[in-house]
Amino acid sequence: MIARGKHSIRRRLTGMIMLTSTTAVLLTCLGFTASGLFNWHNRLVADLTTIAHVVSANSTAALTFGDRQAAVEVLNTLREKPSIIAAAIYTVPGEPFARYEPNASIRVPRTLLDDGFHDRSDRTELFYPIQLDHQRLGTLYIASDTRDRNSRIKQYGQIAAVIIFFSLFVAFILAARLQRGISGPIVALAGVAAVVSREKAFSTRISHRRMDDGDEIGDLMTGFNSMLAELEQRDQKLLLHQTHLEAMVDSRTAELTVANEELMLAKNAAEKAAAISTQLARESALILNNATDGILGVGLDNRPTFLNPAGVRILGLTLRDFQKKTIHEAVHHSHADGTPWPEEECVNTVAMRRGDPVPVVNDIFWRPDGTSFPVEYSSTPMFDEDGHQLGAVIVFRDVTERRAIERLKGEFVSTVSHELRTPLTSIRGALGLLSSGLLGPIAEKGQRMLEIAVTNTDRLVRLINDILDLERIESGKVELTRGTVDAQVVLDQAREGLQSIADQAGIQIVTEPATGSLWGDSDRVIQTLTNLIGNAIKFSPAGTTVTIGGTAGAEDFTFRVTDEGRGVPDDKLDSIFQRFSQIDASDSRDKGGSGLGLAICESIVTAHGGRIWAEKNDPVGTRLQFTIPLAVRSTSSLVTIESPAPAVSAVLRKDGAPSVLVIEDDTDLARVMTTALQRHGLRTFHTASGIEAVRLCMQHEPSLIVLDLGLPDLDGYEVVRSLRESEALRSVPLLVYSALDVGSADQSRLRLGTTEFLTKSRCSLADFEAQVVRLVGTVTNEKDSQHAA
Amino acid sequence: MAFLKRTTRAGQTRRASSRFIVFAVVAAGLSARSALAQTVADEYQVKAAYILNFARFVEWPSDSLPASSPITIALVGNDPFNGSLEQALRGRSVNGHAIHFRYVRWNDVLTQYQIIFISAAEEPHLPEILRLIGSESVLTVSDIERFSLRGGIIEFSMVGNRVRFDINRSPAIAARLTISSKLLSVARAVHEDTSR
Repeated sequence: MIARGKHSIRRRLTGMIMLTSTTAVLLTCLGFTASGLFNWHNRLVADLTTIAHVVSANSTAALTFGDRQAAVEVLNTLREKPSIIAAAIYTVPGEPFARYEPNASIRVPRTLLDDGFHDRSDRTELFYPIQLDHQRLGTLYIASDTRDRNSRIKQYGQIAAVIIFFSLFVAFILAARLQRGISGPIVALAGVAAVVSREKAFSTRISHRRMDDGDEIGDLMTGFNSMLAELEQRDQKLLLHQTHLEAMVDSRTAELTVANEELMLAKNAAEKAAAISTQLARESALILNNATDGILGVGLDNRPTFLNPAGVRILGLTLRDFQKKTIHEAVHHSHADGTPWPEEECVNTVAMRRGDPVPVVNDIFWRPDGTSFPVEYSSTPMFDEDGHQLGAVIVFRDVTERRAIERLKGEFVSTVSHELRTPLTSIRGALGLLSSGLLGPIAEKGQRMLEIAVTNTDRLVRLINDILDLERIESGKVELTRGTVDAQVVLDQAREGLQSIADQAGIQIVTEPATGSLWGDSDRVIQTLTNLIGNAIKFSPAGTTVTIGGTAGAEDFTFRVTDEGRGVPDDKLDSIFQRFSQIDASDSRDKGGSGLGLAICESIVTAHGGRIWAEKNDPVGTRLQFTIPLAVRSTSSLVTIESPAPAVSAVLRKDGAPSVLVIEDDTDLARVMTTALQRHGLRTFHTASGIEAVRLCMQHEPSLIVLDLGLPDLDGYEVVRSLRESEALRSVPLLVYSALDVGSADQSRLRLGTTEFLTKSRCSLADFEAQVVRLVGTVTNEKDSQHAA
Repeated sequence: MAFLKRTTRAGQTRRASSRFIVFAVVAAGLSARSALAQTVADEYQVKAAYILNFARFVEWPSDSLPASSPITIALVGNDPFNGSLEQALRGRSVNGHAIHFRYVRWNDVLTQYQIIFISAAEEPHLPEILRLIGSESVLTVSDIERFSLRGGIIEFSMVGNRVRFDINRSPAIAARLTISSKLLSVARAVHEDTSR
């Protein structure tokens, strides 16, 4: 490295100078040679042209007069020009006329070429026309020896070689001297740099006379020196730091070792946790994927977030198929009868908003292909650690098969029961006739047997009736005829029915006072109370008391039936409401119960939207309680929204409250409707006759008319036509509440004032009430504004 | 240039050449057609061609031959060419001058012509003809014996089968005719004597 470095820059500089000067000299020589040859060729052409011109002019007469001797004489004058090595004169047809061939080895050509110059390797030939008075006489041929040119090139080459050699020599000497000025300082610099890098002797400095010159090399060396000074300074500082650093490194290493161990521990723990988490995630995925129930995650916007494979199978659509739809829009958009179901009323949405779980057992989901299936589901909200709601999880199950089995079972039971009831009625009738003695006297022993038969037949009939009753309630075949029910009234009625039985059993029935207006089917409520009180009497020893009563809560009224009997074991408190459930297997025979009484009670209470339960009475006995909704709830929206201000009403109504005329030929339904409307503070009239209805309208001018179309005398259309004839009645609001859908053509025939149409099977009683309240509100509002004007 | 100076010389010995080649050269000067058509040429046909070519190597003073005026060649006496001279000259031109031809008698005014050929039959009248011409610019040509020595300018002579000619420069100079050195170089002999 150092040896090459010492000579490299010198050699390179010298080489560069030599190469430059050699190239220059070579190019110069080439230029001179080329221009010399060019000039030489031009001169040759000019010379030959001149010679050809003179010779051809001189040979015209010889040609003209056919004088070969004269022609040869003319050609022989070319001896003066040694470079002309051959010449000839040809006649016009191309025959040689005279030749000049001084060198025997060079012959003139036998045939003519075109006029002009023709270059051969060793000579240049010229064919020149011989003319006289614009007439061609013949052709002159002259050949000039051009070996002269080759020798000339060689001569030039020799001269060039001498020049190049000499110039290289001079250049070498000059370069050797001149390059020292450049390479000397650099070599010195390189030497110092080598020493510094090898021995780390940063105190070394360059000293050179060129440093004072102020050119770039001088600057370089000065810069190098200052760099060395800087390095020396740093080196010393570094040395100082080094000792300090070693101490620091030692302490840091110790700290790091400790930290490292801690990190390793933490890392192991984290890995373990990650493994567990992975395992959990895998198990969760397995559970989700293998669950037979559909599991559907929804966000707060009611849009799906995940759907497990079972869910995909059941719903017939994947998560992607939901697109932008909410759960409700995708699978829950309509009621079972196909009518649209607004999302605001959807139980899922409600559950989400409330943030509490809502189990649903009687609903349907819709598939994308338009089919629906019965479903049981529960919607459970999800919360994060901070208690913020993230969405909800809906677990659902297709219960089509179960429903089908239940229906089959129900049908089976009902068919069997009906088939049994007919023969049983005959048996009971026959036994009754026999035991009454109308058919003849019967021995006392036989009479006892007959009474046993009658008692057991009665029991069998009751059992079958209970079975049918329960089946009808549970299958929804029994419509509750709800109305406002006074709690005290039903309690008293139930007691009256059982008083004789209680007396026979030696049981005292105590009725506590109860205040409350219920919203329910009074017959069914009485049936429930009767069942419970009957049970209490049955299972209480003589001399004890059965206490009945109830209290009103915020939304419900709670009935209580308490006995002092043997009580129900704790583990049976829940199961006693199951069918054919008896505390002892012997009970049914002893007490003559069907085992269905409590099951029926539960069905009735549940149908009312209440609940029933049993608990131990202190110190002995059992207390059975059930709830029925109150008729007027403090939270009822219908009343608070639609109730008109009393002051205004008083002015506008003839008799105070707004009046509604109900025209309905089904008296039971009419009773339900009027009872319901009375709850809203409305006065109601009822008639089943169209003629009577028209008369009542004329007389009272009701605030609203509720009209059924199928009436025994005048039908609905005729009633409307009659009412239209009266100026006062033409603008009365009308609610057509019929069993049939009314077509648009028919609707026009039924209009009075504001007219609305409801179909009985398509709307609930609540819908009906809401519509009535709205229409009454409309009319009162209209009257308000008229009054204000 | 030195080597050109020897183009004019006199009294050279000449090699004999075949009559065919002479004819071929002459024929080329006249017409490629006729040269190829004929194989044997008459002596006077050669001479007729020579007479035309003499006009090419001789310059007349401009006062006797203005530019673009015709050169008239006259045949004095009977016609030894048997019509071939007239034929050879018909439609020709030399140096921009058209060539005309006349048959004349010795006592016609001969000075109006640029070239006259004096038939050998007119030899008795020769002195009178040359006297009448005097120093006028007329090129005299004849094949009369010793014509060039008796005051004529160009004399045809036969060397074997070949037609040659001698030139006497003195009467030509007197007549202010410039004869090209090239013509002189191919003459058999050039005289400069002054016999008249």
